[in-house]
Amino acid sequence: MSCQQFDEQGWLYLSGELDRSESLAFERHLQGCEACRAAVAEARQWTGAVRELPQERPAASVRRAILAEAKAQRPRTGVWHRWLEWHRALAWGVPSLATAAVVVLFLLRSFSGVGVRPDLLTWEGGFRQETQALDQAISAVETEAARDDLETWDEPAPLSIMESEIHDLRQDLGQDMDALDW
Amino acid sequence: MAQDDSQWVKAYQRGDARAFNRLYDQYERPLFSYLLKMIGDRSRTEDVFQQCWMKVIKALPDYREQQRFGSWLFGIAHHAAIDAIRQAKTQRTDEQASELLDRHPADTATPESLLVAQEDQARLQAAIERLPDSQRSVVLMRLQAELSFKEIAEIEHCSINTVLGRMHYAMNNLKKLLFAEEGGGRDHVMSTV
Repeated sequence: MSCQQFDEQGWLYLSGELDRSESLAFERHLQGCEACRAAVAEARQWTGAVRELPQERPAASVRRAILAEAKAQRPRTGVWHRWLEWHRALAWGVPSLATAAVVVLFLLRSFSGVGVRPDLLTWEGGFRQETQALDQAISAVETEAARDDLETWDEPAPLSIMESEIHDLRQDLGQDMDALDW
Repeated sequence: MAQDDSQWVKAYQRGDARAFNRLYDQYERPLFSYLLKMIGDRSRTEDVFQQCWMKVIKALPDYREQQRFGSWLFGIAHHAAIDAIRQAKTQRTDEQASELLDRHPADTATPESLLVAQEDQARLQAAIERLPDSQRSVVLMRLQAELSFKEIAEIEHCSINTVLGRMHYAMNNLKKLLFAEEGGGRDHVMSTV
């Protein structure tokens, strides 16, 4: 049997959750209350016995699986990972620079009059055709970069541009054939 | 321990997998023991144990230490244990419980020496497993996981007075289960109101 004081504060006192003044007040109470002293002693004995119960472990395979998953899912913030991120940014940035370079080159050719195709004399039309070809080349590069994290960006393969032109020609040819059928 | 936990959590968030190993090693036994004593079935416990850690792994990169890591971990485990118990719908019958106690019949040792021998530990363990789920949970979280009563109240979404009441009844019930005369104590396990 214990008095109400133990019921209200005894367990908190034993777990160290009373603040300093409450703890001192409870200890003063213990000095004058035999019932609470007995209750505290008994509670210490029981809690000590439960604490001493052996603790079990899971199978070793469970531990291995958990640690392997933690390793696989760990945040990637190391120097190597940062270098990969920088390189990926570079792979995206170079096509943009190449596009700008080609545009500038086109403009220079246009103004110099050397090797200018009559159908590309208008700035808008010529620019649109050139950028369409470059967009297709960039898309091809982007697809490859997305597939491989450590992709080294190469110059757009001329073959890609040729393939796009071939595609355009086929479309034009198809339309002409349709016209003949009419 | 809390300071070390914080240190390992931050190290893992920076990408150090070995830091997680330290956290795991710190809590492997207390957490598994808690779940095993709550759920009872070893195979099921291993599944739940693994699920708890998978949740931790998933959430740890964004964990911001709103509470102590151990408290957070056992909160996950507590709810997982309750779900597992409900799913299994296993209730320890008096017959099953008496089998546990009958394996280790009571002797005439005094309370002070009763809890020392290995056989006594087995009987204490069996008695804990006979407690109502709410009382067993409080006892195990307080005394095996070393969570504070305040943390337990937060995990169980109840007042601290409720938690203290469950602890009080749990201790009384353990005494009754271990020291009542054979066949007389099993019907007197008290539940909280």
